[in-house]
Amino acid sequence: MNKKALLVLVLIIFTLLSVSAGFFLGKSYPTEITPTDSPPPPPPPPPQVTSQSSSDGTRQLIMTATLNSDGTHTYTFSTTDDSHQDKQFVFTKTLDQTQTMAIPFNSWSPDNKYFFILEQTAGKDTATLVFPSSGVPFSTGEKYLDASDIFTKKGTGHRFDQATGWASNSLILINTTSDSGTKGPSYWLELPSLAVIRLSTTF
Amino acid sequence: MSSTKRRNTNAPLLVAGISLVVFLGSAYHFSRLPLCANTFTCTRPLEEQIDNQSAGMFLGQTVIPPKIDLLTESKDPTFTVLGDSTYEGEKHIYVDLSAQKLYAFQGGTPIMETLISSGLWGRTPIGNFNIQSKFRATRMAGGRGSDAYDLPNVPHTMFFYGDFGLHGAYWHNNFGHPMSHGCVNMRLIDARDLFNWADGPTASRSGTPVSVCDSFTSPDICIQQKPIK
Repeated sequence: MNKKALLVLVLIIFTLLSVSAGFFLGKSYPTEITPTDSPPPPPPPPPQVTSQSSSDGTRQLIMTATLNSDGTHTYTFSTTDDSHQDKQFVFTKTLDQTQTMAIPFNSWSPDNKYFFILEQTAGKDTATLVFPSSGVPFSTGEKYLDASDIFTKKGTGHRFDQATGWASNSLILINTTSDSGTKGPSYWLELPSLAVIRLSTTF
Repeated sequence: MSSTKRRNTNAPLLVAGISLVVFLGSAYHFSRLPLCANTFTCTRPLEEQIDNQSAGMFLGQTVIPPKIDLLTESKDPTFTVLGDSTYEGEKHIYVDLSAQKLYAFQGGTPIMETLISSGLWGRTPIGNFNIQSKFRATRMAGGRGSDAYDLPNVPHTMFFYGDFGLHGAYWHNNFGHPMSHGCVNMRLIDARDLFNWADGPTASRSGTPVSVCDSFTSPDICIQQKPIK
């Protein structure tokens, strides 16, 4: 073998060694088992369903609370009859984690023509939304009314505390607090006139 | 003249004497009667009245009573009794006035817990009673002025002391707050279920016990400050 052929052979061997070294040295081998994929996120909790029957048991108001991926909750309300055949969508609202919605025990008016639901912050009622159960808007064109907002705008000198229920088919009972923080008088909010009537009896 | 003067001197004494006799007689007479919340309908004995024609009145508002059809009800396939035959043992109803709640137990097992409305314009009697009578419906009327009421077809009424009873209330929906003239108002479906579960008196047995408490802790701690019975 002449010198030239030997040189070519050395170069080929060197080249092969370099390529092999580069291949094997550049490749890392795991020294321990590590997960290559994060586990799938847990499934979202199932929607929470609560309901409240009318006094005579013929109507149901249903609230479905769904947790969203951003931590907010979407509340959806519907009504149905006692056979659950006539389910009607009523209202939906998405609230952040500091707020909730609820159906009170006394939600339905005695004649089942109205119902109200509550928006709450830290357990305190911040809105009392009154709906006609027929789905037909109020004469003002609004689908629902906020009883607490209406009361506040009347300027009675007392603060809205809580709508406790219905004194009759069309009278919502409202308890109040005075500026000093003591219990104030009770009022009626009459539907659909929206008149506010101060009572001598405290409920 | 002198005789006239003597009459004038004695007249006030005579009037006072007659008034005292009338007062004491009335007090004795009324003390012999049971308390009566329904001042216009306190008949003895209390009776069932179904009236599908008349309107009612409460807080100055006209209210339409629910129609009652006994024939249809007797054929209702959905009719159930609370607990049905699942539970055994003594039945007992507790009314917690402070929490405005009613509890029903059978053999220590809770059968019902619900909000009620007790006396606002008249006090609900505190004590230990038994159901004296059960009526599918009756008429209740009483009160004065703005508190006057006249309510036909008061459903599922169970009297436990005089004319104080447990019954459904179709004229308001403000349970959890005092709202009655002394009776215990319940939501219509609750009154129906309790009525179908509780027992009236028989020849050999008293009706289901009813304890009205100032406050109540489940299952049987009933605090009564001044029970009348």
